[in-house]
Amino acid sequence: MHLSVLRRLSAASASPQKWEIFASVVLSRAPVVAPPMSEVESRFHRLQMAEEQEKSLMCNYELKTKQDEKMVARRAQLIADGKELSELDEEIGVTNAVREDDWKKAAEDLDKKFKFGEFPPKNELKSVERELQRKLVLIVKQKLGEKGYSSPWILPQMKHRDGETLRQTAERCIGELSGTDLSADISGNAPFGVFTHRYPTPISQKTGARGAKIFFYTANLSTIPTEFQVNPDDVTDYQWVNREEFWKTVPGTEYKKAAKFAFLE
Amino acid sequence: MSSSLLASLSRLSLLQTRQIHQTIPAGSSVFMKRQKKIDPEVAKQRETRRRKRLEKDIRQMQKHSKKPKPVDELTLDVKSAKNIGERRRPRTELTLEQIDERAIALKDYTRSRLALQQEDDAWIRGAIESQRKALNELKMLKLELYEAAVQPAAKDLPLIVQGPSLTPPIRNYEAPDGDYIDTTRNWAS
Repeated sequence: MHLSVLRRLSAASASPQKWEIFASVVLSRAPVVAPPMSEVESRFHRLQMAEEQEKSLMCNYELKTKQDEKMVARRAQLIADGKELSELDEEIGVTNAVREDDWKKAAEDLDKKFKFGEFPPKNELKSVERELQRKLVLIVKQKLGEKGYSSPWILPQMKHRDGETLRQTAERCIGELSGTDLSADISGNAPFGVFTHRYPTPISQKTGARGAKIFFYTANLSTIPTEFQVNPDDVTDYQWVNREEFWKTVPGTEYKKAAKFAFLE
Repeated sequence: MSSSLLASLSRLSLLQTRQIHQTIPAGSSVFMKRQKKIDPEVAKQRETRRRKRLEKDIRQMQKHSKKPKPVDELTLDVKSAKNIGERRRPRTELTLEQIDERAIALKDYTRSRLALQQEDDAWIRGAIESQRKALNELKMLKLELYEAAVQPAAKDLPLIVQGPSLTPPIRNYEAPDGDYIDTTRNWAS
């Protein structure tokens, strides 16, 4: 193992053709809202709750509800008989039914005020706040190499400079691509995947490199920015996509396979 | 001859050196503060007071050492236990279909969890393998970068992740004013 590595290392340094090193960042936004339960899960949940209810003992609140029901029945009886009620009213006090009505009204008011259940239907692909239940990943059309050339849809990447570690390159990549201040955490010093891209002959002759080795890092948005913008000098277009959309939009099966481990949900 | 050798050896022994490094008797030092002379009556009072305090502390400790910290789940709520008969629910008779439904739901759920676990497991294995390949490539390209990449990233830890909630956070929400009251119970140590 070690020997073969050494041999290949020396071979690489001996040959004039080398590889360019790139760091690429899979910048993702974690799901904000929990996805709904699957059919199996919700059925099991419902039945489990029912079973627990059957096996449990009644709590004080339920006892009070039972007592209330008895009292209300007695009151109705007394009214039917045409007797004095004032004594009983004091005994009943505030029934649980009344309380529940109050609570329901308060909940409705709050719901009206804050609109809990409604997610803003932001479906434009540029919005970070779209698809709150899914994990989203940033893909870009990046200006690379020559002027005016814009890449197909790719994960943002940056060429490695001498003297910095790959992680620093990845950090620089996030910093330079985003137009606004962005707080994102890169996880770990080691890349989780690599993709080898061979240059076509003309580019290879021009750059003096056989191709590019792209090392992937994962990063998470630690806070979701209210407005997300990219740096127009480097990026011509961007999208926030989920796993299926990523697979559909980005070209190159091998490329996608190299980055697929960033997509666990 | 031999006895004189022994004597000289014994002079080299640890015991001898220890005796050299003796501390100066504390009382005779010039730098020590001189002790004030106190009334023997007052000294006696102080002594008894200290003794009493110690005894009280010991009594407290003994009292609490017998009583372990209660586990709320194991203690009996006496107030609620008094009318436990009222609290029992009427027995529910399940039909055969209901029993079947529950059993099937449980099996389905278990299967779904197994599938999920297998998916996770495959993902972890795949990710580790992918990372190993990437690091190998890096080692061949540039050893310095590899060395930097395999360093532990201590700065990333501890990692705190806020899980997804059921509803999205409300923008510009102002929390109502109020005091924070800590109701954690304290147990004498």
